[in-house]
Amino acid sequence: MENIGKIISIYFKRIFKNPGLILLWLCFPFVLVLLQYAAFGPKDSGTGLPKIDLVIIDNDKSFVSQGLFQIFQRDPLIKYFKTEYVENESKMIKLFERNRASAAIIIPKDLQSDLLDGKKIIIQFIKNPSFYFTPLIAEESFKILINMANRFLAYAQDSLQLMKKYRNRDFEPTEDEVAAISRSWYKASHKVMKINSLNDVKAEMVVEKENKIESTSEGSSTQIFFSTFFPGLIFFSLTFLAIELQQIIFRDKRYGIMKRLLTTPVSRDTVIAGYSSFIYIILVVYAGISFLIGALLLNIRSKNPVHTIISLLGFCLFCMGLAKIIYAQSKSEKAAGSIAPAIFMIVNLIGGGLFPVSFYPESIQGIAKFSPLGIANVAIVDSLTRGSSISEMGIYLGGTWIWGLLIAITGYLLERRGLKSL
Amino acid sequence: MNWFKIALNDMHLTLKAKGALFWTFAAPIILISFFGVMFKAPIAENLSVVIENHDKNENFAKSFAILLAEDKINIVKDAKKNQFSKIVIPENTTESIIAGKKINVELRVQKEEDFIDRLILFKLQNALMSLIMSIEPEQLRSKLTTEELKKLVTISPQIILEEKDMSRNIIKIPYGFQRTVPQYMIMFLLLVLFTHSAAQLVTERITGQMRRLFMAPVASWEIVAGKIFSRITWSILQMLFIIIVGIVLFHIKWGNSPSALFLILVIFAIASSAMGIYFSTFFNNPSKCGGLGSLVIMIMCALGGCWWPLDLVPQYMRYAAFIFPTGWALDGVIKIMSFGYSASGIYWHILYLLAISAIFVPLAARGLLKAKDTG
Repeated sequence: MENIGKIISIYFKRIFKNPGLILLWLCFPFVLVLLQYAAFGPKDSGTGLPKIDLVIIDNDKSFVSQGLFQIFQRDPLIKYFKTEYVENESKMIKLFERNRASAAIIIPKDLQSDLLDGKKIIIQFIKNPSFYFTPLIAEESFKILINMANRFLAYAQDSLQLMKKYRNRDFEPTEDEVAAISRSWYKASHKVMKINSLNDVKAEMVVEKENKIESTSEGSSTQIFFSTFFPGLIFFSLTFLAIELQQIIFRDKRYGIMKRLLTTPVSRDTVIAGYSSFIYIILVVYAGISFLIGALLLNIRSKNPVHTIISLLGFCLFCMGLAKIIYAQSKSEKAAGSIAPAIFMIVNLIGGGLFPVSFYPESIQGIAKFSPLGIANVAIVDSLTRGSSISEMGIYLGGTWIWGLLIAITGYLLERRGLKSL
Repeated sequence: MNWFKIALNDMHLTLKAKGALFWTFAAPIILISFFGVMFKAPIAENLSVVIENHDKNENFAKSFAILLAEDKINIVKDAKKNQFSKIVIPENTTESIIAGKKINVELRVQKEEDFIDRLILFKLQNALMSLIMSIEPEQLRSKLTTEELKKLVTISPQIILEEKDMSRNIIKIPYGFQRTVPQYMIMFLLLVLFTHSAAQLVTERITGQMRRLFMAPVASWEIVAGKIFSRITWSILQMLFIIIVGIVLFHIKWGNSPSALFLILVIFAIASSAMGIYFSTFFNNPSKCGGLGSLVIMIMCALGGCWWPLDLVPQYMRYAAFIFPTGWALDGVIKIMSFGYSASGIYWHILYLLAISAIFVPLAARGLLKAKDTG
């Protein structure tokens, strides 16, 4: 045990002489999570999307056309849209090119008179060809607005017909005729005003998993955002840090330091245990410091600290083991240096190192959730966001440790065999 | 032609490095395949839902089905468990509406953040509004046939919303593979230059290889030119590979102007190669150079729009994309692909990248020449 401690302290002294690389890896998760937050963090609109920029080309410039789009300046649409009036299509294209507009609406000339005449009106909708999501959302929102207008026009047909009839006459309408128009408008507006009942009749989205309703999808708090994205990025950094640390050991083997160490009366197992403990401690301390800084800077709080610690310890074991396997099987530092990042990149991609597994399509999620990184990620994200009980998370916590132990033991056996041949 | 020989030798060495080969050719294809599938374009056509009616009276559910079908939503009757999202009409809906009580029509989905479900929710809200506007609460109780309900809730629209294509030739909306291929092409080009390639230069400098090279009977400018040229050529090879794989495997439409595409990518390769070389001159440790290089690339690519579609991010992030060459290059490529532009349509992009090249090529050359004395 004393010898193990000595080997650990030697490696620690060496790493503290040149800690730049570890500090660099410590920056990774914070830089990336802040970038992701800037891109996908909670938005004012509450839709999960930024405000949609909508261009309006009003060729009619009438009371009706301006009134129709006043609605975009009011609640609730003002929360979702930012409108800009432009004069022509070439200005619209300029805004599209600068990524400053998602879609455009072209109001035809004679909108107002055609409305009164009961003629069909075609409003053109143009999507920015370099965007995908926001034009679709804009289209659906606008469809609701048009539907509302169409229904109002359908109910107001009687009054519109009367107005058209009286407008084309040479003399003013009588009091009875004005009253008839007013009655007809009242009936139409009464039907339209029924949309106020929508305050009572609502449509909302809920997530249903295994017949259990979980939560609504209306936005996500900053804390939940960080708690969901941050662990994957820590895991991402841990995997690459494990490679860097294992590389130090590999160089010691290559430059004969390990050989000299093995000539001393210290067993092979002690040597392996010594430097493996060093790697493991660094990984655990790194993860701990990252979460501590995360708690201070990003307000990440664990709802089940025991589960957080168990999953972290298990995953560090996996990282250490996998780096060992790769380096034990590699003949040169170059070969290991090329294969290790490739393997770790695949582990990260499948397990949700860069994006949470919950963002993946259903078909990939099944595999992702039980991959080494994915299973640990599910366990740790749950411990930070929900804090489920051991009975619910046992499979993920156990899975993290099964992966960790399996890979670490394999790594140890391969490394032991490698040291024998020195 | 010594510079050409030096460039060829550099390329030969890179070809021998398995790591460089992996990150140049294999890794982009792995990532493109993965994220292309992950972010495949959700098909907004053929949307399907199941209606689960718990209300005793069927008029509400029937009207809903009519209105949703009008909005081109397919109402599935015999679906497997959890196959489609579900609209759940709660118990006593009719009675609650008549009594003016609150009710919630739920759209039950299997997964949060699904864009298709958000579209269905919009259509659901639209149908709900139509229903409320067109039917009197008491009518929900009466016995009405489907035809009678249809007559009640549907209207002949006077205003029609028509989608118009832009006058220019839109090639394809940049989503799924159509977006991930150019995104990762740009990201991996930089990744190789800022990590492997830069670290290789650091190694050559700290091991004295560079100084020995400068002692050879070759003009200094030829060494510098060879080093820069090899990196530019390698980048062009990488891009050609990804373009061809994109066409063959992912059926990418690269736009109407191959010359504009080639032009912007070559200028980007020159700018990036020079930046990569200049970046390497700040380090004496290849691992640190590679590590910090990865971090720099990640920031440049994430902000430049190589990680996510720019319409999903706030306006200030869209502006931030144009701080870096990644944003200009990707936007230029997307303009060629989606707007069908030629070189004249992306002249600002070309000018920006030329300016970056004009700044960094001399800096890179100066950095390499320094190795003459220090390396």
